[in-house]
Amino acid sequence: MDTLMELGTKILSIFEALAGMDFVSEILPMLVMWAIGGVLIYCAIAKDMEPTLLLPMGFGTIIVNLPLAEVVGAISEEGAIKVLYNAGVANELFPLLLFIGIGAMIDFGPVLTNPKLMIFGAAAQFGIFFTLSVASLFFPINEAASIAIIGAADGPTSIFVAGELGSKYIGAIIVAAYSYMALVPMVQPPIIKLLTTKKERRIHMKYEGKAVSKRTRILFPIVVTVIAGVVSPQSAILIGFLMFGNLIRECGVLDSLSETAQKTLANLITILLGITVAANMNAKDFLTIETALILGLGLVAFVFDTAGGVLFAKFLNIFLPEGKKFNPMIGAAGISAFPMSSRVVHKLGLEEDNQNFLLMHATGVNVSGQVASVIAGGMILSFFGK
Amino acid sequence: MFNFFTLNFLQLFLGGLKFTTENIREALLCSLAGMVGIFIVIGIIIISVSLLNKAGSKKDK
Repeated sequence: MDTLMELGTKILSIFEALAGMDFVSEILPMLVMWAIGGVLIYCAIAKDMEPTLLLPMGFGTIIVNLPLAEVVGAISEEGAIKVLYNAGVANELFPLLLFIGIGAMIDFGPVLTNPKLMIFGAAAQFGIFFTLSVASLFFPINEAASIAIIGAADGPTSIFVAGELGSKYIGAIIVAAYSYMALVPMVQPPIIKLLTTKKERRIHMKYEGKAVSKRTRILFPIVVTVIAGVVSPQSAILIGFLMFGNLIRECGVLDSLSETAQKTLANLITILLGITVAANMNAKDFLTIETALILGLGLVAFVFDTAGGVLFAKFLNIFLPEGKKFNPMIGAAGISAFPMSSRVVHKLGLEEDNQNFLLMHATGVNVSGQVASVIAGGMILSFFGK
Repeated sequence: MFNFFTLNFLQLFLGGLKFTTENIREALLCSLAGMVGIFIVIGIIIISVSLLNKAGSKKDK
């Protein structure tokens, strides 16, 4: 009887609170956030834009913006979403676990056959540091660093770094990071075309499909972890989890673990990550001028990442003889958005010359970008971390 | 009329932002150090992988 009375009182209080909601300050923002959630779900389903993350995020956005979400436990400290957020995002556990899955998915073969390509992965992180400088004009330095990491074009790195730096804009940062990753086929081609001539886009690059020894494949993740850990200690944990996943893949004796990391683990974490990240997407925190600016700065980061990679390849070409020159478009694949960026470059190459196959080179640069973006995250943390 | 509203809108829009140059020096220095740092780390990785490849190909021969 007491329980029934308690329930009745609770329902009554909800109706009373609903009736007392102000349209402009409470209902309208809520409707806008529902629309944003709807747009994310639409982009995921109809446009196939990063559906694994945008769909759970879109749905999570609707949940945390339900009327009186706090009262019904959606965003209160004891609510399931906040509990998951504290258990997996606030302490950066989910992005790290996701890195194991990503590491297990990546074949570093193309870059191991031609390690020189890794240099473009480094050059294409320019957007992160350019954006850091621009963002510092509007935000405190820690927030500027969190925003700049959108340029890593790598969701888990963005979540990890923004979380570690205690950014209050983590929701907007993640939306920007995943949205622009999905928009790579639209963002990159105009920049690449603007910065290259037709002649440059037609440069052919020979691919020597050398076999990579198993020993090299096994030692690569260990060597990279040790080097990154020694030179940039803050990136050790990020690169360590990524490379651990890759070691599971390459060692040859843990096939079932590798398969689990690639599929079950990655899928499970992605589901939880998406819906949990939405905990920070309540109207009060999200519908601000800062969010609009963060979305703009995210675009700046992607544009300057692309420009950095392309211009660096053009710079190297000045010193290289004919026949050894790089097709500058492959520099753009260093932004880490794997595998979209390499596909974009390959497609652009074929558009100019239907015999110009750049996929393997672009893939090599693309996976290098994955490593370089994680190192860039570590650099940011070493400058601005706790 | 248009200008008045545009101006008002811009003031409202940009008013929420605080423009400051006090962090720019630190940001530029960190950006420079960050880019140099990445090139150093990647450079060391390139050399290491090349050596691994060389050792692998010698063993194959």
